[in-house]
Amino acid sequence: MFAAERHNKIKQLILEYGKVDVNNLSDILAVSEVTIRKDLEKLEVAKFLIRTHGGAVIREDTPKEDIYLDFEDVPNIESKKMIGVFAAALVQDREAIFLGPGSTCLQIAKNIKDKKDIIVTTNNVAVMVELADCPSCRVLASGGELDSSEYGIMMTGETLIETIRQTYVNKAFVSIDGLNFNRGYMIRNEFLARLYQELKNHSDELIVAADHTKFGTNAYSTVGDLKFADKIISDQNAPHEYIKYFFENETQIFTTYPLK
Amino acid sequence: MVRKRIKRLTTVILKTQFSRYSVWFALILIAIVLSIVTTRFFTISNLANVSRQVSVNIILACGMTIVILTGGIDLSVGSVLAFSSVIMADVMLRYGMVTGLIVGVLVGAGAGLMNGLIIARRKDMAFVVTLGTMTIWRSLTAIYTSGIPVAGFHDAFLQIGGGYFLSIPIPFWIAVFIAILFKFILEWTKYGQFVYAIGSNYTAARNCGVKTDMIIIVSYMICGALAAIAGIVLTSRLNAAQTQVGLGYEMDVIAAAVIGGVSLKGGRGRVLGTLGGAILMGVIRNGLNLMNVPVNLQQTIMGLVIVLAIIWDNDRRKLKKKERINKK
Amino acid sequence: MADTVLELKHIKKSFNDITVLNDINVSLQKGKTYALIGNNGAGKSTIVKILAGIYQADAGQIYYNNELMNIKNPSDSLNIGLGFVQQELGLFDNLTIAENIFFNNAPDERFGIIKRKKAITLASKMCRDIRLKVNVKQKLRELGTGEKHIVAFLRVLARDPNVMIIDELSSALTHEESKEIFRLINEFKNKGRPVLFVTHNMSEILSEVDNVIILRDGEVVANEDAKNLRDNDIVKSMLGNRDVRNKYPKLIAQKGDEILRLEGVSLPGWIEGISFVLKRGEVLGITGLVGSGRSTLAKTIFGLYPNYKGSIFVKKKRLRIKNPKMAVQYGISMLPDDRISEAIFNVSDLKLNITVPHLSSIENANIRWMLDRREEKRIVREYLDRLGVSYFSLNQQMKYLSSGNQQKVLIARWLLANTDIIIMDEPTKDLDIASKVEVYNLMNEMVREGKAIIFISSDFSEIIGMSDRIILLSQGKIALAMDRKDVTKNIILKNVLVD
Repeated sequence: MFAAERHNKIKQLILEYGKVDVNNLSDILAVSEVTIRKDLEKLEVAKFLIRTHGGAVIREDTPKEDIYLDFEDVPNIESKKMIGVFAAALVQDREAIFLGPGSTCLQIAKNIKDKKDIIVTTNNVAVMVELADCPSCRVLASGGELDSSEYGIMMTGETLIETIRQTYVNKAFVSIDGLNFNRGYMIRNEFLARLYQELKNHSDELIVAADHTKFGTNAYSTVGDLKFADKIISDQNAPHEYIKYFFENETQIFTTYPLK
Repeated sequence: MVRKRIKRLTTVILKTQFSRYSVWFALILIAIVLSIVTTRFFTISNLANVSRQVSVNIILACGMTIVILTGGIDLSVGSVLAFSSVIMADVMLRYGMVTGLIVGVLVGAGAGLMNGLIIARRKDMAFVVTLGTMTIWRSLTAIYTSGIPVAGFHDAFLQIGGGYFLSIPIPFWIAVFIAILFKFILEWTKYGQFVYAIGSNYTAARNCGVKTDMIIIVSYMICGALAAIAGIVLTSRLNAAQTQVGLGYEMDVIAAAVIGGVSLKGGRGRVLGTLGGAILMGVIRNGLNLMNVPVNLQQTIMGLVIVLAIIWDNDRRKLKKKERINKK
Repeated sequence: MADTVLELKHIKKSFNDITVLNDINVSLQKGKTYALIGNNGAGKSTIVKILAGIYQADAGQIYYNNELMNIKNPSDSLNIGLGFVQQELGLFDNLTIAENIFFNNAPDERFGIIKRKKAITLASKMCRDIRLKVNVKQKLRELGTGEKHIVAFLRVLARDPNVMIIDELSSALTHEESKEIFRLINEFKNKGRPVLFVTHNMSEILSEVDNVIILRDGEVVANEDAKNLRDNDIVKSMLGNRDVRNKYPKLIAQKGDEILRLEGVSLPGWIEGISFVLKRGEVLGITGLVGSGRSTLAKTIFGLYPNYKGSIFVKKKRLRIKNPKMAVQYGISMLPDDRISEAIFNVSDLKLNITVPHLSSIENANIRWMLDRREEKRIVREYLDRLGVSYFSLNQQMKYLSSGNQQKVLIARWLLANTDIIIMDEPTKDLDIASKVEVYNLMNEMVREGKAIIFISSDFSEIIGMSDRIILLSQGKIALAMDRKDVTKNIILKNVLVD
């Protein structure tokens, strides 16, 4: 069970019972007491509860009815968060980057707000919203048509491809639906496949963010063979055959670990 | 596919659990066999007898287990038992029971301290060092008593060795209490964890910041103190402190540990296993006695039992390894 | 070809997962001397050991005088007439010089009785020929290192081999001694017999041998006349042209405050005058040849050599680190290069292996001296899952894990202890490639959290790929200190080889 899910469970329990106990929580949620204490700390900072010796109680002024339970039911949200944090760490000040559609790129956006003077080109509407109030980011929202799909809300259309053709970025971050040895990188949406191919010619580095579930999976359109990406970021469960392949073929492969 | 995995898993679990408690299985098996072969085995008086007889061994074996777990050994336990007993007896007769008991235990601990101080610095020399101290304490015992046993103790003292509580001899209560106490210490305290670590890999333990010298010294002191306590029980039972007591005890003690699954290389083994080993040895001896097997032959059989225990232990480890490799 | 004495064709050798020799093709001609050079791990020693019958090749053939040979053990090798002077001389200190020279090779054995007098006479003559001033009836242990090397050499000569193979002619020889040895080698060569030197020493190569054979990544990449090669060419061949900085997954983390500083740290006889500064978020790579003092330096910082001279500052406070317990208290941890002997509790379970240095994290909340075993299970499980370790049960013994997983468990150990400074000595040794990459990525995570890493390795690619700054140690001193931006393997290798 991951942090976000745990936080939700803790919130549910405290709403129902008014108080919680570290020992019980660690049994129910099957994690160590140390981790529970960290969770409670975070929830205390978020002004949701007050910690006590051995547990926590709900705050007097927490409105019990309309709590916004932050249910992000994106699959593998934890891996994506880690990948997002790590990818952001690769971005340097004063760089121009591209963020593609999908929840992983949204996570990247959440973590680059402290960079200085960066230019972000994106067709991911959630990213645009996320970076709207960031003073040090210049956001170039691409034109095109709104398209709501499993990648979230994004802009599509030929004008988008045109925009890409006229710009240049240092790093382009994209996510995919599958990759394997036979067909390389794949994505369901044909348009996005073309977009990424165009991006490759207009960026210093094309970086693929893919959690471990994408390895060995197939999808409709091929973006390019496994040498297409310059770097690849995944999580700690990335399969060893792929790690070996990328290293031997001199593509930097990063695997993130949820150490905190 | 899934069924195969479940089956494999169950086999491995069973094998692991079985081997962990194999001493007890063997004990139950032998007890059943003996009850069938001779009617005198499963009587209260016989069982009480057996339990009283194994008590001394159990107490010594607890101390030995700790020392073996650190990767060492203590051959001097029999001699320390003798030496601390005669001193205790003497002090007891002159200054009272309580003082005597305390001094006895201190002497035992002191002997252990001596072992520990030397072995902590030269950790591979436990065998040789304790072989030496074994001789030293034995000869000092002889010198101290000039061969004359000490006798004539209070009734209160005699209760320790001869008394009963709930129909079970007090020595057995003491022995089991000590075994459980040390099981707790070894499995639930930091000290215990360090003991296992040092026995498993001394250098690695040092590299983890463990105070290896301290732990080793304490372990040998405990062994010595327990030898003294075993001596108290024995002296009380015999109603005399003699020069020759404890001769050769170390072998039985080591045997009990090995049968109980303690690895002589250190780092692996449990006190309760040793408890089982000591009881098993006592039961087998008792059975052989009841069947009127001549004493010398008994020794042969005991020797065979120990060898078998080691082979069984070895095979069990190899089996576990094969299972693991297959799983991977 | 009539001139070919010894030939290796398509020799392959792998150890576990790792291919050491890929496709070796070498032919040694009559009367020529060869130098076999290559990076550490390129496979030089493996070739020698295959010729000596210590290892068997997985594939390929060995031909002697155009006849196919099957070298299954050292006897076979000796019978063909291959003579070896190995790095570990293989001499016997408690025997006399004459006995060593004629060991297992006595002159005129009749009914097994060795003619001692004859051996002594012959040995004396051989020593006189090479101008070694010794009494052959002396015990070997009375000789100096250089002289011992000469005796090893004479021992091989005494067998009158057809091919001589010398693994690392020692830098312990004086100039005079080297001259004498080369003189004898030339005589040997003039009898039409090839000599193969395996070496690191560049200057020796170009001046004394006829041909240079360059090994890289398990393959022969050059076999040229020494006259035609210059230093640069040789180094380039050994390295290839890739810039390894693009291959290794290095994350350049934000650097923080100074966390470790060494000033003039010395351990007489081992290391001298070591000074450097280490900041949070930094990976400091330390490299050099075997014996240059890297591990000694690591152990000194970790408190295993309390009598060091000089000062060590942790978080800007000057401290005296007298034992590992103090080192851990100050926030320094170490993964030693010999994992099995010095770090892994082989027969103990995974739990003990992870929690031992930091039992305070599993103390019972109410009774401090008792351990909370339930919490221990939870914490250990968490770490193992976070690091992606595959295990069967928490109770299983360490020895049943793969090397890669064992290393991750050791890393988990020090993550739990939460030390700020982590010294990793050859952390990817014996690991398969995917596990190596995982270790690199774990290093990234650690520096991202603000920890600092001292990364010791003899693999130059790895060092360049993953370090922020690099220190090259040679004979206990700092020979070179560079920044990641400026370094290339060329420079390191040049510095290493030239000493």
